[in-house]
Amino acid sequence: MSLYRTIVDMLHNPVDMSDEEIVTMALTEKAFFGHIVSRYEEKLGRYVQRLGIRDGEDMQDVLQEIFIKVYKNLNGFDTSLSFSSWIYRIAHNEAISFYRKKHVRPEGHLVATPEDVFAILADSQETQEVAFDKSINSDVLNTAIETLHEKYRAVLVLRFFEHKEYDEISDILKIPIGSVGTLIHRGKQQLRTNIKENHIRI
Amino acid sequence: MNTEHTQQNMQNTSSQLQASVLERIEKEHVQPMPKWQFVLYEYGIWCLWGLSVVIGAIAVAVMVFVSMHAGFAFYEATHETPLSFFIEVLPYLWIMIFIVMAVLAYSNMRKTKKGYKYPLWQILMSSLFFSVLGGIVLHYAGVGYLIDHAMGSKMPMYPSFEATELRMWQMPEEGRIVGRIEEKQPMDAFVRFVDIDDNQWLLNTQELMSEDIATLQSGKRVKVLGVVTSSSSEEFHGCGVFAWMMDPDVSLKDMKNERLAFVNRIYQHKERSLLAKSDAEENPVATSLALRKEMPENANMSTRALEEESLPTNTLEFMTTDMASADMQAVQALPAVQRKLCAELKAIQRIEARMQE
Repeated sequence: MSLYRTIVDMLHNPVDMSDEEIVTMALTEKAFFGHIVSRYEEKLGRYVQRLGIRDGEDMQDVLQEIFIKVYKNLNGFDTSLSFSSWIYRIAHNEAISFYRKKHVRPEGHLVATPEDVFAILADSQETQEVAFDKSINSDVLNTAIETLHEKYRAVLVLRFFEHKEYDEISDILKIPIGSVGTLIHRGKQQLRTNIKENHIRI
Repeated sequence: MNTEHTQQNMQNTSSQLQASVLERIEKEHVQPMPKWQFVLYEYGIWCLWGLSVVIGAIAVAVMVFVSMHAGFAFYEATHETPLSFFIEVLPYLWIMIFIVMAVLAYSNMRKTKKGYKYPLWQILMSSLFFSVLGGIVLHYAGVGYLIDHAMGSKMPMYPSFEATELRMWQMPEEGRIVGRIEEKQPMDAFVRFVDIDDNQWLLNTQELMSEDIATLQSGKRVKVLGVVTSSSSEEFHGCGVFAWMMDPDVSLKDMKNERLAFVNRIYQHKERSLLAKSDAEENPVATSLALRKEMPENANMSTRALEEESLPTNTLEFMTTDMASADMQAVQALPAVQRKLCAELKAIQRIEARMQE
């Protein structure tokens, strides 16, 4: 009776529970999975949106598929990773396969703020340039990011929009940490070139 | 504006999504896949990686076996250049198998749980390391030879290394035969020798060194370098005898000794040839007679070193002294070594004619 009460309490008040604990509970009681959905739907929604899934219905479909996949694969969750990295990985793969199924190039909705612009383009060696870069508005940045190669776009979005650490990006995209750094560096260079080549400034 | 609308829309559908996901799970009876499937997948990937490394190791073992037994010691006797030798003996099939297995090993390793954490070169080098190490161990266990031999005997399309070697060495017209002496016979100037095509030869052993004789007497399969001295009587003048060396347990030392023995024979022929050349300039008739005693009648290819020797000018003049112009042209068109032999015959004919007088 007391165990039942504990479960009911936890079910109604999962705030203090870690993701991993909720996953363990969800494996025995599927209602707990609802908390995973509520914790991540906004984050993942923004992420897939930033990856280019703009249409509201498409986004809902993709999100639903992501959570169904997460549920199916709960037993495959690698506890050496953070749950966040694992669920982002599934979301990333689902978004990519969505593009491929639809044969469309992602159309950005990156929702970048001037701070995002600063974060992406700032470089300790180029503080002078940053002032110039900061003057680029978010729409311009979004347009420039859309033209980036998929591999650069994914790391830049994860790093500067989702604020993920290198090791998390490595886990999400399944690439070595060293490659994350390289891709971010090259992506930023490519982004600067794209912006300058187009002479887009406010 | 569009962005704000989408965000608002997201918030509105937040609880809807949770409900729809749970409803779908319920309705479609979606169940988490059992843990054992994930464990099995992980083990399966590691097994595939192991399998690619093992097949890669087998490929390395065969490649090591082939490269160690490729008969590089004799490339001068079988090929024009080292390049043409390597082009013929490289085990292309196994090289391709090795490359494919390295790619598969890399791809399988990347699919493991932690595989993505390591850079390409680390994964590739670790797979290659295990393949090469395993290949060397397998080679010394005789697996390279066994695989090559077994595939050669079971698959007619497979060019086993032993078959390639036999094809290269069983060429009597080019001065190379493979076989063994018939049992129970005294070691005379001529011994009966049976090649791998079951041809019977009378092997002239007069020019052979004591090491050659010992190799021949072992009764094992041997390679003989020399010349067919008479097409009608199937007589073969041996210049050198070498162990077949196709056993898997032949050591590097054996191969080094084989190479040294071959090089020694080449030098001996060179020295003899150079000696003959300088003598011929002083006394063509005597030299030719001496050569006649030492050399077989049609010594066209006993060694490449001998073939490369040019005929002394005065010997050529001597040979063609009283020849008809057509004959002279024919003689001049002959390879150097054959012109030399013609000169010897001519000298003998003259001496015989004088003796008759």
